[in-house]
Amino acid sequence: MPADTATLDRRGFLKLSAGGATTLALLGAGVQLSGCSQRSAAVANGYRWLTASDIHFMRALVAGVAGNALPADPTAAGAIVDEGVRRADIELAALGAPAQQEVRKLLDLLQWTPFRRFAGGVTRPWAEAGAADAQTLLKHLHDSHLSLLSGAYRALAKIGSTVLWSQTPMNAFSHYPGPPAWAISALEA
Amino acid sequence: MAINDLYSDGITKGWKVRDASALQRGETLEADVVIVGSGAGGGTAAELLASAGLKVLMIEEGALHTSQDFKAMDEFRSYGTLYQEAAGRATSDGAIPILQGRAVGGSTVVNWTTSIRTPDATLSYWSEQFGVRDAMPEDMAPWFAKMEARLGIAPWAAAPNANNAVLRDGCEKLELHWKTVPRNVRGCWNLGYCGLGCPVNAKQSMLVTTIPAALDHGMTLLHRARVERLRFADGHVTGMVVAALDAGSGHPSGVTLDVRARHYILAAGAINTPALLLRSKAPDPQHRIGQRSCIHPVNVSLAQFDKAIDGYYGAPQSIYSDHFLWPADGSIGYKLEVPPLQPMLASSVMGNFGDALAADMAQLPHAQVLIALMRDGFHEQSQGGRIRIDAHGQPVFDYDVHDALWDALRRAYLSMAEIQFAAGARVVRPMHLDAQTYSSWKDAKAGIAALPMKKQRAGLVTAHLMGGCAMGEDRERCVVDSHGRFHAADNLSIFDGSIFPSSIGANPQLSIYAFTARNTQRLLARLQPAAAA
Repeated sequence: MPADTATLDRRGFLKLSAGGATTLALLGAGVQLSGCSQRSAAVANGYRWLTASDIHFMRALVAGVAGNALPADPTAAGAIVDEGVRRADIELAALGAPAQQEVRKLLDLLQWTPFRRFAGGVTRPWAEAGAADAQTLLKHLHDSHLSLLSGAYRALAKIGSTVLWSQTPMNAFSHYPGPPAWAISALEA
Repeated sequence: MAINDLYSDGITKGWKVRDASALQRGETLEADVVIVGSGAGGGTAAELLASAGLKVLMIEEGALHTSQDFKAMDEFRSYGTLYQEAAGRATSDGAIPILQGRAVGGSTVVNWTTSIRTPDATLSYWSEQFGVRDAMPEDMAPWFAKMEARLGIAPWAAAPNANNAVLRDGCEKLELHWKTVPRNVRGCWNLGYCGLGCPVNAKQSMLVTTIPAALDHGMTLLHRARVERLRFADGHVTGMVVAALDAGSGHPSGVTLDVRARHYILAAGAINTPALLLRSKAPDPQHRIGQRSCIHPVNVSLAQFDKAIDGYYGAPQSIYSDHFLWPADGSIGYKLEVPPLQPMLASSVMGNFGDALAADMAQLPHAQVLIALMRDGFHEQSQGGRIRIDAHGQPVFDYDVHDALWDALRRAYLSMAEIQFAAGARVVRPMHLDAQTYSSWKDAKAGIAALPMKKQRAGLVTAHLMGGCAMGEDRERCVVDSHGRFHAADNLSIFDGSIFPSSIGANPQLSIYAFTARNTQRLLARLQPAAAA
């Protein structure tokens, strides 16, 4: 879908959203009609479940969830973000089919310009977006009291935090010393 | 100090352990008894049946992972390999994440070792409301004792870690009930990583106790194999269709097995057992399969202490409080416990993002968390949720939260915050999207009173699934009889958490062990009248 050609305006979107969770199906239908659905898009090379478009979004999401916890060194930070995206791919590939379908709808919605712009407050496409844009999206979703959007926030915050804070390099920031060294060495002895 | 790998040793001496992902072609397998699932129910039944001389086949959807695989104590690896849907399972609306095991040994491989008997009030409720026979406290006491002895269950003798000590100290200050948690461990190293698989074989999970014992008695264990459906004819199960799973993707490999037995036991847990029956179009004249699927909805309260808590180390659960579990006015009560706080799990419950999450995570060594488990299924509004299947036969769990539960969840936020402040917390934040960080009990009390109690805003989670195939003599309301035998088929039993007619009000594993031991003895008397006499 060419950027910004959909006609759903903010007012229309809010009206549609007032129905709460049931609107996910309607919005999903909108995505289908607009030709933006990734449901049939190819899995990205080297990944199990994410498509190339998803990966742009996931990179922004992981960096956005990390905030100032990422190391200042861009190479080190980039490696953590890349590993986060790889872990998100593993997590999502392992979901049951019904949950995967819901996540697919959500990721498709996030690629749909009217949703990204009016529900998420993000003007740039994800391929050009960064951590700050993902944080704008998360804040919009967090602050909305529509259960559809709160649910989207919960899902994205969980994916972002688990793929990030499970990584050993993040232990320096959290001061988590890791599993007890004495036990590790005893088990290896 | 190397830990013996029970399975490599056992396979060397002749254990029949088969990885279905390696099968190249289909075959027919026959046994006296086939058990679907290898968790608390399947494992307990397997040992008793195999040691009585029956030919037992155990089928497990998950893979075999042993102590060797747990040595790294790595959260991402363990959540990805040992849990249903890589720990991403949730209710159908995503509002309640579900932690449930999926491996040889089931949830017993990853639970936090808490082993509490079914409360007397729960047993009485099942007897009175559902006509469950021979399951009053005095009937069940010998079965609890038997399984406590089998699995080394005893109150934790070491000091609680600081995370649990907060619950004890707060309760002491406020003169509330608290107790030491009985745990199923032998030779525990007090590491704190029970949820990731015990690296030292101390946790007396099915993986290291009953399943090895059954294998010693000749049982065959087939793992990475999913039961697609049971075949029913004339009130009888005539066979089972089993799909071998590909080791990499977890999807069916294309190899299918035909399984036949004299008797069939479903022990796949309270989501997968009802889903399998629904997929199999099991006889269910009253449409009760999958109904009354209860959980303990859990909410969470995060505190920060000036002192170090280091909640990632030490037995994860060693103190609990039942002070609020059975309110005198009949409202829904809750049990208070403590979770482990390794960073991946901790970050997922904090519920925020960016610099705010980073600030919370930077304080991880000072973080302390309480959880409250709501007692679902006892109140008139509390009928549990419903397991159904989608068009492809996959389980879907619909679960609504009604006003009586929201009322209990709000009271629980209050109790947890009060206890945390009483124990010396610097600040407390209920895990709710609209909550603030409160620096006094007075502020917390006012803040919590104003929180909108809505799905997704309140952070909920569960690890306890109960119901969906309720036991009892009333065929209008119950799927199995008081001893787990399927009402509508004579050679089918259900031995897992799905038989409980409500939630338990305690962590489920010991309830499943005891009911399964009791029900297996009854089954043995039917299958082997001479041996049982």
